[in-house]
Amino acid sequence: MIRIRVMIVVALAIMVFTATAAVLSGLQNGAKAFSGDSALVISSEGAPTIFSSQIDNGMVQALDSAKDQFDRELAVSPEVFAFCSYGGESFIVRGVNYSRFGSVGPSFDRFEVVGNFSIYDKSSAMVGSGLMKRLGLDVPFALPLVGSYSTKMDLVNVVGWFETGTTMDDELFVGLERARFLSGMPSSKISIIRVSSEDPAEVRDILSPEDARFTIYGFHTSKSVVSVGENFTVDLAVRNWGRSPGTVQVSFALQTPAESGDVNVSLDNVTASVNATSSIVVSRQFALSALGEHSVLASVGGDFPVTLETDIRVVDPYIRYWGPSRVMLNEAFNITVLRYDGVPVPSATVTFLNQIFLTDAVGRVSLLADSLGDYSIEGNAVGMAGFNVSIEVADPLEFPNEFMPVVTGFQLSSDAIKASDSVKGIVQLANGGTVGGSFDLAVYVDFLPGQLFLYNVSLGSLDSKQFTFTLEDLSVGTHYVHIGLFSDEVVVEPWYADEPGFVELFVRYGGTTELSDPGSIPLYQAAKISQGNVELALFSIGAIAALLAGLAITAVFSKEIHEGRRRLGILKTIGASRRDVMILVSPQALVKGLAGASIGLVIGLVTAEWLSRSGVFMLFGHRLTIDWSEGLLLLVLVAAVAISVVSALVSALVAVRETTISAIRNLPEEGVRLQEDLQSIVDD
Amino acid sequence: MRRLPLFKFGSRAKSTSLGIALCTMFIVASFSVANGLGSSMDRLSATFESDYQLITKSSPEGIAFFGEQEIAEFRELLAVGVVTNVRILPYDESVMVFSVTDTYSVLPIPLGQSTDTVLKSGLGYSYGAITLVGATTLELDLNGTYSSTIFPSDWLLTSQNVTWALTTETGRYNYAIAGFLDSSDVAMLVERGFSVQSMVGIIEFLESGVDEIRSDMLWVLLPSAFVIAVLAYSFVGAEVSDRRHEIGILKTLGAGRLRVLSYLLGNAVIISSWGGLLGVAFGVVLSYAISTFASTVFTSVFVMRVDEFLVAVAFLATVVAGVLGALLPASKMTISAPVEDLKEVGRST
Repeated sequence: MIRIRVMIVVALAIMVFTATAAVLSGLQNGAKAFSGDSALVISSEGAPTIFSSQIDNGMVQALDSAKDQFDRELAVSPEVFAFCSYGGESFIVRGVNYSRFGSVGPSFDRFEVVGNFSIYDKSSAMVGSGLMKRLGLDVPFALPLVGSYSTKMDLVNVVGWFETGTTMDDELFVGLERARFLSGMPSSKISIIRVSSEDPAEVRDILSPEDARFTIYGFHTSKSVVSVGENFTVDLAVRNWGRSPGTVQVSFALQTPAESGDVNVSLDNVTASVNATSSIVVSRQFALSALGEHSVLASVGGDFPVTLETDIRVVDPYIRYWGPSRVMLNEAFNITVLRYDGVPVPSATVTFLNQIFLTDAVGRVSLLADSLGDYSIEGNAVGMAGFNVSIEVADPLEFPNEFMPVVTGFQLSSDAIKASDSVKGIVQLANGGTVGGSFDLAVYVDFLPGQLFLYNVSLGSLDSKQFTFTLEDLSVGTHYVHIGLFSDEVVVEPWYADEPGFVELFVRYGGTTELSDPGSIPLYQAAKISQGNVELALFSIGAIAALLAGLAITAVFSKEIHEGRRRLGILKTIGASRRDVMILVSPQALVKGLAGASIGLVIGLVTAEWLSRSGVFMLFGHRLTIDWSEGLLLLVLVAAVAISVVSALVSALVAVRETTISAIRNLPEEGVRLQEDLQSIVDD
Repeated sequence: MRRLPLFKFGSRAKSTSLGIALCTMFIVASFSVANGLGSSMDRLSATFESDYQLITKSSPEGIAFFGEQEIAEFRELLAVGVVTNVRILPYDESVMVFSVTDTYSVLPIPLGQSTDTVLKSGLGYSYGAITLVGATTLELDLNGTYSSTIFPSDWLLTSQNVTWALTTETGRYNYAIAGFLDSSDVAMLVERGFSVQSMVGIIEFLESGVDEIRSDMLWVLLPSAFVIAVLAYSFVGAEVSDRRHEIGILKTLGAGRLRVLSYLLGNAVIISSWGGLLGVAFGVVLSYAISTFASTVFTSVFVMRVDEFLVAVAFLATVVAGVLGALLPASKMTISAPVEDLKEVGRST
């Protein structure tokens, strides 16, 4: 009833469908060409494509610092994308750090550098084997490049070639700086970070969690020295780097050293509500009752508990003197009375040369040295311990007739600061000569190159003055500041006391970047088309391809059954029921259909792979590759079987519906054909 | 001989036409998707501008030197120069040194070095004596800076004489930057072995992407044309099977093979044309429907653009596939003996 040529048509139809479906799947996976087989790709949040993505290069260092906190091995590769064309061929230029790229993969099957060239030279480049073939070049090769988005010219020496077996073989690799120049990207930025990890879920959970996740940072106290019962304020930033809003309890406690160990006393618990990927500041006011050194602790619990601390000293209140230790005869000079915490004290009494003075609103008083010799200055204020310091009143005639600036004292405003805070240096200067002038005051930080600061300071005849400067952007650690014969040190503490690298990663980058699987990085939006549109379009085309294959198969089956209608009529005439006809036709249709589908499936897969390898289809500078996943194979197999089975059954139903009369009407007058038909029925 | 109503265009013809229409609709819709995608890329490409083109001469080693006479016709449109890779001492590093002669003020900002000293931009080298080692070794002074957005900041700028001395290619250049070249100029340069690159890479990248999409979409024709051919084959096959007797009568009355073939193929043309027209209409409506629907559902606008030329291609492909599909059963019918045909008693008699 159904001839062998049906099988050929079925095979052709299924071949066309299989090849189409496989190529469509390759189109859908086009984005994977840019990410290789890495576990995750980090791009900037909200960037429409990875080409426009710009993320802070500091995130690479932050990830490096936090590596130890991850349970599994983690490798990161910062990369920058640029575009170029040469000889009519367009290609991707990928800026890489070769050692980092190697740690993330894909691994190089071949990596050949010719002669004595170095890949680390600024102008060196490596070409992928696929691109080398497309451009038809031999290495070494001086390749002119142009800017991606603005008018630029560059020239690279292609010193070797590589092969990874992936679509990256269609790219040109250069150093990060080279790619930044071509793409016009700032030196602090990169396009993407590819991340490889044995546990991608862990990385995703840490860097871009769906639930609210919290950390604390920026722990400030308004005062580092307080008196008993005096109020001070603590400020603390709470960041939620998760993608959902949430609440967290922040605990404040006081830690006091004791012989038996530190004693912790709870000060307050605060519930903070924080929106997704944002921060709030929590402020609280406290007063302490016990003298001595204490620490104020702030902590949050959860999966990543963090505790921060800051030192505070509780003292009996006192005042201190701030002024010169030597003045000239008949010189009017100012002194300032300061509280223990540096606040000026108004209305304090100052006694000098048996005269009593009251400080003004800013704690200052003006004195006159009208007698030679050593004298004392005494200060008192209500409720606070006073001071008694000595001062020398000297004769200017005893000093040389020249400009003699000297540093008579130096101290930093604080022993410890937080990273990104500044510290003040207070220098006491005096001119030992009677000639005024100016000089460069040299401030050395750690005696490191680039850490020398020069300040131009003027001094009058036998003048003495206090000079203040500010040091900013000191790195975390202990720094020694040297001026003349004096030096002082300051400890710069990180904001993050526990696991600083990890917390910095959350605070600075948590929630600010997009984490994508290699196959779903934003790509098609380059044409202002969302990923959803593309997937819908590709799925629709695949569905229509299946429908068309079914249509072709049904048509050819129908033709066969139509041509065999006479035999069906005879069968019905001699008593065959519809069921009998169905039983007769269906197995033949199914066997021929499935046999044809099997052949078509194999030829279709081979054709698709050939199309992929031949480079007929190019996608964003990469040849289209088909990801022969189990899912794709299963989908194609099921669809091919379904198309052929459904088409065969539809045809069989058409045969069953053929009426007996219409089938046998106008039988041939000679019985030859009838005999043939009867014989074929017997054979069937 | 008057044309006989061999085919009645009954339900079989209608269903075949609808099947063909479905295929044509698929072709038109696919073309529209690809064309819309291409148009979007075109629009994106148009947002970038480049007035400059980089001209280099290709050789097996990369860029090669060329003489002024090779670009004589375009000289007033070009800034020319030499770029070469040398070693710099005492730093013992590899560095690019370039010179540029912009006699006709082609570059947006004047750039050039007339004296035989060297200027740096972003490199950290100290001012003073340096040695450049190329094809020859030169003792020079690094004594100033230059600024340019076109050239990399890690290149050193010097005079034409210095780069000629370093390369021993006196009087020749290895790159030129053009302010504006039209397509005939570009074609002439390419013919002379030059490579002409737009100095904004994304433009050519997107344009080649559009070309890829537009050439790839022709592949859509293959499966659809195959199905159309199968439908036409089945339709004409079934029809000749039914009407073999009538065709036998025609042959007996004197109709030649060509006449019979033209009858059969003519009907295949009618069926596939009708299906093609229907498919084009469906395809255009479907394209706009999807475009409108997608634009309301998704935030981004997904434009499907129907192009008259592509519609014509789709229609022609439909008719050609229909005729090709019908060719086999029709040819078979023309070569059969009239006596055998007359023995067949068709359904319609």
